[in-house]
Order: sequence, then C-alpha cells, then structure tokens
Amino acid sequence: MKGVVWGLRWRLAMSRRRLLAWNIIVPIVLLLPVAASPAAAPHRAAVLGVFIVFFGTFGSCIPLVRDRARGWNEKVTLTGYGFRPWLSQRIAAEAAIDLVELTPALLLVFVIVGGSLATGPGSMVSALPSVALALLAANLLGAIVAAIVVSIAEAALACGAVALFALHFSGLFRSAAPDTWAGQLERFGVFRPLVQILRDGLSGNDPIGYGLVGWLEPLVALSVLSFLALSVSPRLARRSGGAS
Amino acid sequence: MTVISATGLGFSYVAGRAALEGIDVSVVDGEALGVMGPNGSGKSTLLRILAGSARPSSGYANVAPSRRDKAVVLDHTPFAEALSGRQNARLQLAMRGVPAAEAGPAAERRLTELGLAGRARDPVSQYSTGMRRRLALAEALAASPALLLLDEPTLGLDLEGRSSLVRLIRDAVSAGRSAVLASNDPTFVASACDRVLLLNEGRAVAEGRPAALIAGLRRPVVIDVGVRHVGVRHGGSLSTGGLPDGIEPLPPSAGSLRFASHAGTAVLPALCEWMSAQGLDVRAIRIREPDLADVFLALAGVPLRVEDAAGGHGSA
Repeated sequence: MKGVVWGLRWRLAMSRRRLLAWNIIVPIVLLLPVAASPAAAPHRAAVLGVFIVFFGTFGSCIPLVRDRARGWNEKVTLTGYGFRPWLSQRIAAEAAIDLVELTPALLLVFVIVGGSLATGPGSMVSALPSVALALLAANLLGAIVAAIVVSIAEAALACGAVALFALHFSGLFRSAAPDTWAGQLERFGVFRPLVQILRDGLSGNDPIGYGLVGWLEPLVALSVLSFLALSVSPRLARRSGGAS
Repeated sequence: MTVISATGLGFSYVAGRAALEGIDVSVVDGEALGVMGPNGSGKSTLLRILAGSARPSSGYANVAPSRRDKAVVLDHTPFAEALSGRQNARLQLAMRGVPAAEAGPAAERRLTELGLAGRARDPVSQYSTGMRRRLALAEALAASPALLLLDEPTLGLDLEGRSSLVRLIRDAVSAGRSAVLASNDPTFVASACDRVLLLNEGRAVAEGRPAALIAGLRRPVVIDVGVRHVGVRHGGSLSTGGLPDGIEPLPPSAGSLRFASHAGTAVLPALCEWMSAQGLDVRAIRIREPDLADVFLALAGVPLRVEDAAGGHGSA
C-alpha cells in the first residue's frame, strides 16, 4: 500500500505524453526569451518566480478541485486509504513531477542566459533544492486553496492572489527593510530561497550563495503549510452537491 | 451478526429541507437489502451515510466493517481515465492494501465474470457507460469486502450484465457477505435482495421481503394475448363464456386480449385451450405480474419511475 498514490501520480503523468511534452515545452518557450531579455535581473527574476510558483500552485489546486468534483478523491479515500497519506503522497509526487518538467527550462536559463556554464554545472545543481522547495510549497498552497474554494473558476482566482501575496512576502517584487514587520515576515517567506537563486542566477552570479542558516525560516514556513494542508485533507475528499 | 444498525437517520443538504428523515436500517451477515425510491427519495444519501462519506444530521449509524472492508460504488464512479480497466481494478485493490500477488488474479477473475476480459487492456477513456459500470462493480467485488454498498448498480447494464450481477451478489451473500443496493429497478431488487426498504421524499414507506410486499397487494396477474383477427368467429366481439376459473376478461387493447388471473400463471394451459377452442390465432402472450413498482405506487401514491407514470413498466 505504501506509495500507491505516489506511483499513480507518476504513472498518470507519464501516460499523458502530450500534456507532459507541453509542460516541458511551454516553460522553455516562455522563460527563455524573458531570461534572455535586456531587462534588469530583478525584473526578469520576478517573471520567472511568478511563473514557477503559479506552475506549482495552479497545477496542484485545479486538478484537486476537478478530482473532488468528479468524486475521484472520495473514491480513493473510500478504499480506506488515509486522507493524510493520500494528500501528502499526491503533493510530493506533483511537486517532483513539476520539478522534472521545469528542469529543462531552468537549465537553459541558468546555463545559457545566466552564464553558469562558465562556473560549472554544480551551480545549477545547487539551485535545484531552492526550486524544489518552492514547488513543494506552491503545491501545498494549491491544496489549501482547493480545500476552501468550490469551483475551478474560484480556484484560479484564489491561487493567483495567494501565490502573489506569498511571493510578495518572500521579497520577490520588493525587499522590505529588515527592521520592519514586513522584513521580519520576509525572513519566513517560503519562496525566499527561490527569489535568491533567481536573482543570483540571472545576474550571472553563481547561485550557491544561499546558506544553510537562510533555509531555516523558509523550512519553518513549509512545515506550517504542510500542517495546514494535511489538516484540510478530509475536506478535499468530500464530494459536494446533492444526491438522490 | 448485525453489520449495519442505524436509527433515526436524518440528513439535509439545504436547511429546512430534509433529504432523509427518521430512517432505521438494519442489515445482518449474509443479507442483501434493497433501497428503492424515485429520484430524490434519499437512496444515495443513505448509501453515502452508510459508506461514511456523509455525516447524518440526526440519528446514528453503526456500520461494523471498516472502510477497507467496505466496497462502495456510487452513482457516477470516476476512474483514472488514462489507465486500462485492468490497471484501475488493480489500483483499487492496492489502495485497500491487497498484495500485488493476490490483486492480479482477483481483479482478473471479476473482470472476466463481468464480461470485461476482452477489453481489460484498453484505456478506460474508451469505455462505454455500461462498461464503466461493469468496471466499477468488478473493482468493488474483487476486494471480496464484508459489505457492498452499490448505488444504481444496474445503470447502463444490458440484460446479460444484470443477470451476471444478480448472480455475483447472490454468491457474495451466500458466502456470508452483506449488501445494500440502491436501485429503482423492481425486477433487479426482487431477484437480488432479501429485503427491501421503500423510500419516498426521504421517509420510509415500507420495509419487508419483496415477495411478501407484492403478495400483500393482492393484485391479479395480467395476461396480454396478441391475436390475429382472421380466426375470430364472433365478428370482433368475443364471447368470454366458458373462461377457465380464476380468469376475468379485461378491456381489450389494440390487437390484443387482456385477462386478469387470480390464480397466477397456473391457469395458462387452460386459457390456451380456451383460446384454441375460440379459433383465436395467438401471436404472443405477455404476462405481467405485480412487482415492487406496483407496491410502491400503492403505498406511496406516486410512481417509482417516470416511465411508470405512463404505465410502461413491467416484465414480460
């Protein structure tokens, strides 16, 4: 029984080859020209950051809302599979699949545009944990939003708003002064490591600079998000609407 | 042993409008309970409560088997569309914790019994409504659960599928398992269930053994005889003199004569002899016995199904 949902998500992702191809090609087509543009690095980083976080948030929330509406989530949990193992495996798998789909685009951005080719492939590898953390957090945010909304339209609106707020409080659009409450909040921004590596990478710097200590607060934020998402998991499995 | 014991169940989707009210249900080992009622009568809601996916707003339900030991087929069963029928069936068993070595043969057996073996490798996205229903039933039965909760199990099934399903349910019940089947198909419920609970507008109308409920109606069997008029010697008006005992003539309909039998179908040979003596060229005989739809109509005052309102239901 262990890992059944994890395996299912991967099997489904790999069986939908057309969708898989689109999910790899679209980020390349959208991100590469932005990254290669002459705009300032923080502006380019903002576009990339929004895209990556939306990729995770929307990709988690909308399928969860759709699967709840068609009764799939309910069907899975009616087999006796626990709500929390189901949701945690689903989110982990979706975040991992997102990472696989985004990696070709990010590789191109960092290696070709960011100039990391000169500093070696290690720099890209060091950036991956920050992207993985961001995708995991984005998927958790998507699941929390899915538990609150009732339709896909609401999900799209709420995902956009929540993801942009979370990115703002992670300092993507403007860094807050450290001695203000916004600055204190920014330390716990779950997307802060992503913001940092995007800015570094697009400036042509080696994106290693995000130290271990800097991860502590974002990981605390990730734990809070995980707790919230798992707490609302039974809501995600309950099909709404009437029955005869 | 009691498998389900529920008392005073109530449920509302909208405040002030009860979908279920004061329902008592009890099911023991090796028993199949049918739940019948028109659309919106609360059948699916009751099943959801028993499945554990809805919480009653009043009363309580004690369902002995754990979630893993219950198999639930709700009205519109979703599948992993990109996967094959076989993969879906195995997936359900894996989620129930059935080891892969056992899941494969169990899924294969049920797919074969429900006539899906030939299409088991095809993606579910290519399945028809009837095939999807068969797959949902195969998934439920493959787990050999202690309790089956099936909502409209015959939906989209052809006659062969229905008879296979009745056989599989009776086999499961004979093996000591229990079932609750929500359906408004009177023939299916009468043949698959030991007891039936009739619901109307969320309330229980009657409960009992199908045969006892039907017998309680004291309605005659209607015999409909299709005739070709070439042999009729009476110029269109048939004398009903000499009809066998227990048979009464009913007003004829176009191309057929109708009789009511108070002695069931045992009078058929005598009736055939009488028709032969009358020189009637008989083309077809249809027998319409009273069923649970008639019981429902008599007790609830409304038809069980839309088509019943037009007098179209019945078994030939």
